[in-house]
Amino acid sequence: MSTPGETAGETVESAREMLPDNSFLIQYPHVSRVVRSLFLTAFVAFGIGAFMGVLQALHRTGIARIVASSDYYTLLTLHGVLLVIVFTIFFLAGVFTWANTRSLDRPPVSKRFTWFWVVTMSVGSAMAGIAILAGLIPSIGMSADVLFTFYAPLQAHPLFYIGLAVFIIGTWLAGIDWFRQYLAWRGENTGERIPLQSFMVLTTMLMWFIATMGVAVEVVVFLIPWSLGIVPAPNPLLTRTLFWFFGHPVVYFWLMPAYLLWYTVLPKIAGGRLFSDPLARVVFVLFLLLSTPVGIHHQYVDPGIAEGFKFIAMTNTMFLLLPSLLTAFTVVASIEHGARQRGGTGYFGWLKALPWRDPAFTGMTLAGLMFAAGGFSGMINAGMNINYLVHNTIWVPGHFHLTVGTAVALTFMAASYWLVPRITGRELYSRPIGLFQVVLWFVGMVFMSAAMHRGGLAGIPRRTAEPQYPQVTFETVAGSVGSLRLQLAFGGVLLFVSALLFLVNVGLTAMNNEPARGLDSALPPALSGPEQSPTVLDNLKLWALIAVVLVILAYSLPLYSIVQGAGLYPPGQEATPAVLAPLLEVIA
Amino acid sequence: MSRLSPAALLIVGAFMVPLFIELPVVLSFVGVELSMTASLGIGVVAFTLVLIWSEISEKPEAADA
Ligand code: HEM
Ligand SMILES: [Cu+2]
Repeated sequence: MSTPGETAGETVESAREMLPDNSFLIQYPHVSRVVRSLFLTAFVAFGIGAFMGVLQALHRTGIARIVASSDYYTLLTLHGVLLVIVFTIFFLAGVFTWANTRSLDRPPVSKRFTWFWVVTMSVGSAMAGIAILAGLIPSIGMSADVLFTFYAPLQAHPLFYIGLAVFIIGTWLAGIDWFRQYLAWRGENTGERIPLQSFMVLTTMLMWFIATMGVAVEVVVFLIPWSLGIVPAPNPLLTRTLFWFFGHPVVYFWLMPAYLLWYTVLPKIAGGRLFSDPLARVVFVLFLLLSTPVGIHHQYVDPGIAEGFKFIAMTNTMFLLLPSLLTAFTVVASIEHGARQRGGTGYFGWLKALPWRDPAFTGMTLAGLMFAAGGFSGMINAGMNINYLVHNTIWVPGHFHLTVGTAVALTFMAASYWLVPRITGRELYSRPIGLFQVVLWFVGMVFMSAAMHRGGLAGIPRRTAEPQYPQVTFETVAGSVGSLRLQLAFGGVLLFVSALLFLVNVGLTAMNNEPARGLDSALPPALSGPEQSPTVLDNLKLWALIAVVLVILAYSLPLYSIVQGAGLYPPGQEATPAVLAPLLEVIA
Repeated sequence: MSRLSPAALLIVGAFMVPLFIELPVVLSFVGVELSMTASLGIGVVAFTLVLIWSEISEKPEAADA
């Protein structure tokens, strides 16, 4: 606590002196600063994105329409881009910077290079964000209401696409930074196993390098020149396919950092040890191999892709369930081990021995639980036949608010309660508020996501400002559409309140003058360590090569036939308004 | 002394929410109609019962346990 007369700076200095020498902040003050600045951007994006979320929830249910429906796509683009591109990726970059440094026990090779990619990512995000926001002010003449999937022929201002490209380059540089850090470690530790957290960072980044090839080609070769008026509108099927080449693996880019936290931090908080290090490595290798050659499962209803390719994508997708099921087993086993170390007994009695009061533990556990529900609805999405039932309905946002919107976002919030004191040296402002906040997110999401799933089954479309049609009545399984709307909006409001509580709690933590306690971030060794696994698991070159081969097998024929079919620039393709004009004439 | 701490009540309450939100759907599979309001009402009653059970211990000696 501060005493009157002391300046905040002095208090922090004296607070820092009270931190143990082996705490992360004392060992790596500079890396801590990098992580803090990444987290700050992530949290700002989260706050704005959550605000857009509640506006949408109130708007599309007709409860409160604060903006014009014609601006709905501006909000929705902002919501999608800020939450799933900026919030998630900035936060995970912070987690990876922390985890790679901690587990290799050395800072990145060059401070300058590290700040260079932080700035690159930030500038890219700012460019895209400005282009989207400008859409709210017509006089600027700039807009990017293209949603986070930016399908052509919907067209955004070039600033949006260029910002996106700059951002992606920033993430590549970040990956290079983490690899350099690893290679420096390798130079001094020949023959040793890669430390687990670093292994997870490196496999994730290899996956990311492969996955972003699709979006890089889409944006740089087609969308930027098109938006600048240099080339005609591209073949929409081609750019969609390139988008989903990246769009599926990006979900693992969000998820793998959450898995990193579940595998390495959660067992420690639960008072136990990771059940199996080799299993964790196998899971990350499987994600590296299988994340990319499945993207076509987002295109089951796209004409112009042969059913056979869709079938292959579906099969790969079902295999991709395996690493998630392995994760469920390993993480629960590790938590149970922790509970038994804390004196828990019985078949289920051990559950009572877990640290439920700790927001970091409870938040991550609730996130994992919701991920199980999201996995089930994901299997429905992935089935070629049953996908037609839910495609493009509000079911789909119902699904991914459980996965990225909770499994990832709630894990990140919960982990912040553990990590922010470690990179600021300040004690968490309030654990009870933290606990209430993570539980409120869970409850809010149960309301909102259940209503979305059921609304989708009734046929209510997604991405619609006013999904109310006088000619159509939606048939629900149970309850009325009116009650589903209320449920969706109520859940959205709870989620927004939860987001605010999180931001306030973290903000007050950053200003808290009380030094953090119990900062030890050493991770206990796994029950079954890496020495029990074949060393080939650590052969990153081999896995990267196989991953590339699988991608070539999965994508070369579909891409070839798409280009054969309609060419790169099919005649008669122009930007949206022009394409819609004849249609509107017919209707009028 | 209550049986459940405020934190435990919070967790128990949270786990009850999905049960009562999905109850009308599950019942509809067997042809029973229950409105969402009624289901959530039952949920509130159930949680109140848990609360009472937690706060009122029958045995007086449990009070200082
Ligand atoms: C305050 C919490 C949130 C609320 C109230 C909320 C609400 C909504 C609603 C109602 C939609 C559907 C709009 C429509 O299709 O018409 C939506 C879409 C979406 N949400 Fe959220 N959301 C929240 C948090 C999140 C989080 C944390 C994430 C991810 C990290 C997320 C990612 C998305 C994405 C990617 C879309 C789809 C955008 C699109 O269709 O282009 N949301 N959200
Ligand atoms: Cu996917």
